[in-house]
Amino acid sequence: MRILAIESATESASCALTQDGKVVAEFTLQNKQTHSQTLLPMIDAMCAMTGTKPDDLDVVAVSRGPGSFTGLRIGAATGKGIALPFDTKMASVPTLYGMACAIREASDRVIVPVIDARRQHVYAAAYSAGKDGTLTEELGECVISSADLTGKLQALGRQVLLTGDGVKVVLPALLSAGLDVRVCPPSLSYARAAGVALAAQSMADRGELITSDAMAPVYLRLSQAERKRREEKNLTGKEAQKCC
Amino acid sequence: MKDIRILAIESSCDETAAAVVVNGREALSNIINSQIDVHTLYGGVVPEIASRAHIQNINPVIRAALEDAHVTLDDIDAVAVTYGPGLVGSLLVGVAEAKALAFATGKPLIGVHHIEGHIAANYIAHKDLEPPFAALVVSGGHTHLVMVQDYDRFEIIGRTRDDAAGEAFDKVARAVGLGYPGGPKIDKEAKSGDPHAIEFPVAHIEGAPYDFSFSGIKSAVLNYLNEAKMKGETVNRADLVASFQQAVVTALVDHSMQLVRERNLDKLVIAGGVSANSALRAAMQAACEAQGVAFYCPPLILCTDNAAMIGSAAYYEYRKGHFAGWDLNAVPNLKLGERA
Repeated sequence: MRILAIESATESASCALTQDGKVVAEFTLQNKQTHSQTLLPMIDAMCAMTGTKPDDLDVVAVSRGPGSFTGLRIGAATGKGIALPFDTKMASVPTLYGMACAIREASDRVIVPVIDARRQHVYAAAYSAGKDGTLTEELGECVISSADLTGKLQALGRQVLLTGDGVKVVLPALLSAGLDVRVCPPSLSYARAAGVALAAQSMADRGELITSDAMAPVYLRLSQAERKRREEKNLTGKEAQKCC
Repeated sequence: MKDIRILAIESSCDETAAAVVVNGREALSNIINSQIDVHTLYGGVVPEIASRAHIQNINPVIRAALEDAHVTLDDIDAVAVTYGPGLVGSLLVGVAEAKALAFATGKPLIGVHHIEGHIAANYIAHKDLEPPFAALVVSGGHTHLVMVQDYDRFEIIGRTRDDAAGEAFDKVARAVGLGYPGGPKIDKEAKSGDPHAIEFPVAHIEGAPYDFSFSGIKSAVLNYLNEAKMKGETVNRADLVASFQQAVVTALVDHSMQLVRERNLDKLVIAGGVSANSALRAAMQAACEAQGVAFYCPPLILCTDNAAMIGSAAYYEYRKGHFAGWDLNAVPNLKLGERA
């Protein structure tokens, strides 16, 4: 199975090709250029160097969020455009799950990917890796404050492996609560397409592929206008956070 | 010569659109998915909501454009997309999708300027129309008086210094309680009003005879409303909006006709969302007839944002071999006549 994977949810723009679980190629840029200008030239170069034609692909996988709203849409539109002509199936990969898949055999700690969500919050989830490498969700993806994440992880009562660009936001709180935390080294902790591809392989095995029409980002946050409108209508904060 | 079929995509504001256009002149399909109902809740276009809707809608819209045209991607010679001006988040969805589609199918990619597209809408509606001509482009985001020298050569003669004409319509409509979108609502209400009931000022800008200013007219309307309120007088809304519309239309027609006279032109074109305004169409038509100038305006479906117009403009880029690279980016403030 040939998978093209795209990751543009955070600062890194990344694409990868895998064949039956092997990472054949992976290109990543983390230089603050806009994903709009870097992503497709990287995919083009990667396909050219590996002799891959778009209609050879079995799956186009996209990191579907949460993350930067604009980054997610650039990745999603790129993936949808590549998948549309040949009705290629798509994997809509939860970004945090992809990040966990990238390091899933590295530790028997509970893997906690965190992405900076601004306003003192992170997007977070927690997974534990089984002996065969499959991941079990311990904490579902959410927008969460440092204090609340600390509480959730204390309740799990496990050693923690933290990864992602949200580490700086939550680490002080986790450490001061006395949690046993290890931080993934920077060379492993950015969001990258190889993790998305490996996640997509698992999703394909589970029959979780979708059409390119159905693929859309998952933001976990409403737009500011929608939040304001809901607040004006006196809805509770909890309901206001729930979305698509 | 072989027919050139272009698949065009437009997502610069709140319409997700795709179309297939042959040789720049015939739209085989023209699919427009409007988000107007969603944005009406907020009294205007919310960029983040628009961007989210674009990514949801874009693939089904493209598929529908191909199906309606009875073609497949194999029959397409190039993929075109609006890359500016517009809302950056909205533009990015269309640009990323178009680039990926062109890449996956091995077709050339063409980036199109949104306003050049609006002007080109007239090429679809009027097969005989060819440059040079004067064009007035008026919409919610733009007010430009343009000299179209050739299919790919544009000279901006005048522009708004503040609000776009359509923006002034929206703001006045909100102030008088007509709601969003202001253009069509004012157009309708004005039909039962007296356009000469109130004389609103038509702004002239010193040293720039072709430039427009609509914030003065808008403020005059708001002042008129406030004064009436303070005096406890009831305002005849139909008269008020008819008079406002009259002032805007007068400015647009006067400047356009001045250009036609000065350059001794025989053709005038209007385009953009506000060119759907019935008072503007009627006044411009009458002014052109009086001067023996041919007047062109697109049918209503081509006035609003659509992709057929992008496919038409793209055809002339195709003929010149102006193609874009995979690094094509959205340019929210792209200048008319600029090429990526």
